[in-house]
Amino acid sequence: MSLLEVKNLQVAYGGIQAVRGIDFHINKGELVTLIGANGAGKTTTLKTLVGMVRKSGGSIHFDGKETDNIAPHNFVRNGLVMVPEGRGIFGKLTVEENLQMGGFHRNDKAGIQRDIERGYELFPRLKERQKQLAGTLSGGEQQMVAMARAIISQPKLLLLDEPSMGLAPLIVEKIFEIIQMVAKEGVTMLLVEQNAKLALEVSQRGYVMESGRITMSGPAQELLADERVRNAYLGE
Amino acid sequence: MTSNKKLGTFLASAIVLAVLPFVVSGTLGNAWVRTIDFALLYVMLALGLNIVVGFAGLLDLGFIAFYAVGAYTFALLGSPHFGIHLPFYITIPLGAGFAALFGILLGTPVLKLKGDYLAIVTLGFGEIVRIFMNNLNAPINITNGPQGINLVDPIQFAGFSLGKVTQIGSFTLNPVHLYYYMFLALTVLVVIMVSRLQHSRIGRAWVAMREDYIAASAMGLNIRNIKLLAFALGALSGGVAGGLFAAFQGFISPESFSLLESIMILAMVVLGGMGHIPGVILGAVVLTIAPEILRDVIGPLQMHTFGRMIVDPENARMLLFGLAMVVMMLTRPEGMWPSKRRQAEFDDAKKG
Repeated sequence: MSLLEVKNLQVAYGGIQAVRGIDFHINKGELVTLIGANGAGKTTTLKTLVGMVRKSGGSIHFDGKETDNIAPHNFVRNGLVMVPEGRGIFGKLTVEENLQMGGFHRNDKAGIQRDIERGYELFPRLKERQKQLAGTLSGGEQQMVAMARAIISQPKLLLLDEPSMGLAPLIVEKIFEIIQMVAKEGVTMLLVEQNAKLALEVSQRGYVMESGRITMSGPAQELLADERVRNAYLGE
Repeated sequence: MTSNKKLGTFLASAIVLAVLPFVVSGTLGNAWVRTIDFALLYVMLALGLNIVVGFAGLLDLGFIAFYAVGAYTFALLGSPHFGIHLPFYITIPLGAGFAALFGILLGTPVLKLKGDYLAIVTLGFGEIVRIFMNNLNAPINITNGPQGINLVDPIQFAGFSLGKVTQIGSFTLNPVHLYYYMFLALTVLVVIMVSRLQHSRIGRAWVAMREDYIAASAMGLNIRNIKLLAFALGALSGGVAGGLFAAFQGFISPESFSLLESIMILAMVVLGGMGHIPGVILGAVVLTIAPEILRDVIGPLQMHTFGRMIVDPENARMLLFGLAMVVMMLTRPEGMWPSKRRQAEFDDAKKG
């Protein structure tokens, strides 16, 4: 049984079908990527997974259970955590406070503190900036905050929406290193990216999405080698 | 060293606050002690409103309603009006509880509203409560309508009343002095409550919600509960202040709970420094005491310079007050004593 099982998922905004019946699954411990052009329906898919957008058809099973009746704020408690596009950090809270927000749904104070310390070990940069308002950090550092915060919320599945967006190429490399680091920690991840090359390089499997449909899927290495993928997404 | 310093400041301010009413009544007279008592009530109110406006970022223009609920609860259960005379340690918590309930009652329908729309609904709520108090004298007389409730019990326990002149040795304690200490004690309690709240996970949740409620919800915050909690806790301290007000005045009527009062309390929060507890306290004290000073100054000043009254002192006071507000908002919109967080927000806004 996969950790996440999506069958024939459909989502519509008003009359517009953004997602037109897609199937995919993620196994425990995997790093899977969903690539595709702007407006292909990737972000919509993620938002639907965490209950921020209502699906119009199909089914989503997470950890063996249907997720239809979970309220948006309860997804975190169930282990389904999203780092939204634009990172969604709280600029007027300090770095430390942001990380504490990651443990909002947890009741074990000592455990949260331990995980925050572990976050600092992963990102020593954040330790230096502990008391600084998160809004004053650089884009890369903010992404670190978002990732650390997500880990502290103890996800079973971490959904990353365009983590490289708006960052300088050098920082993007850094972010992907971070993603691999987090993956090594044993966190299952679904990565949504426009930067297809980097995303496929770090992932085990990939799905290609086009106009609301999944058009290709397979091991990441195979997709990287595929002629059509190379032409359409790798710019070769 | 720093902890010694802190202890020193703490002891110094404790001594100042302890002797303040006697110094004031000795030099300026008892009327000014009364003004200080009111300043303490307004500090409690402003700190309550600060939870809603400053911490949670929800603009509330009907806050006085909770003050009214606390005051009427106290008065109805401790006056000859119904002939019930419950002790204050029941009526004040009860009033605070009712106020919190009203907070939730107001909060529930406005959960989805923001900014101006929220302000308009809360404004309406404040007026509805006042109008109810004004008209609930028929067919059954509950609030005694515009006549208000008279002869409200003073705060008393074990045969000792705060409403009577008390002799301790050669010391004469007036009611204004006695109430001062009572108000001070409760103000300190409210200050402790709000500062604990601010640095708790709930305090962080309010900031997070104010900033980005989608991200906050994605972090597992139940936005509905966290908003209602802000309304309820804010109303709670408004309710306590209301009960104390009723006991102190001995008389309440709907007139005391007008829209102007709500706006006054909001002005205290904004002028002092939204979300910053010391700032809000400063705002409340300044805005209670400054108009009283103006009252004493404007009349004589006009008589002295023009030989007659040109502007009625009451109007001149509002005029000057409005002018001060405009100047303040132009030159220092973050307030007199803002928190670092707010300062950062305003700096961002200026840049961007």
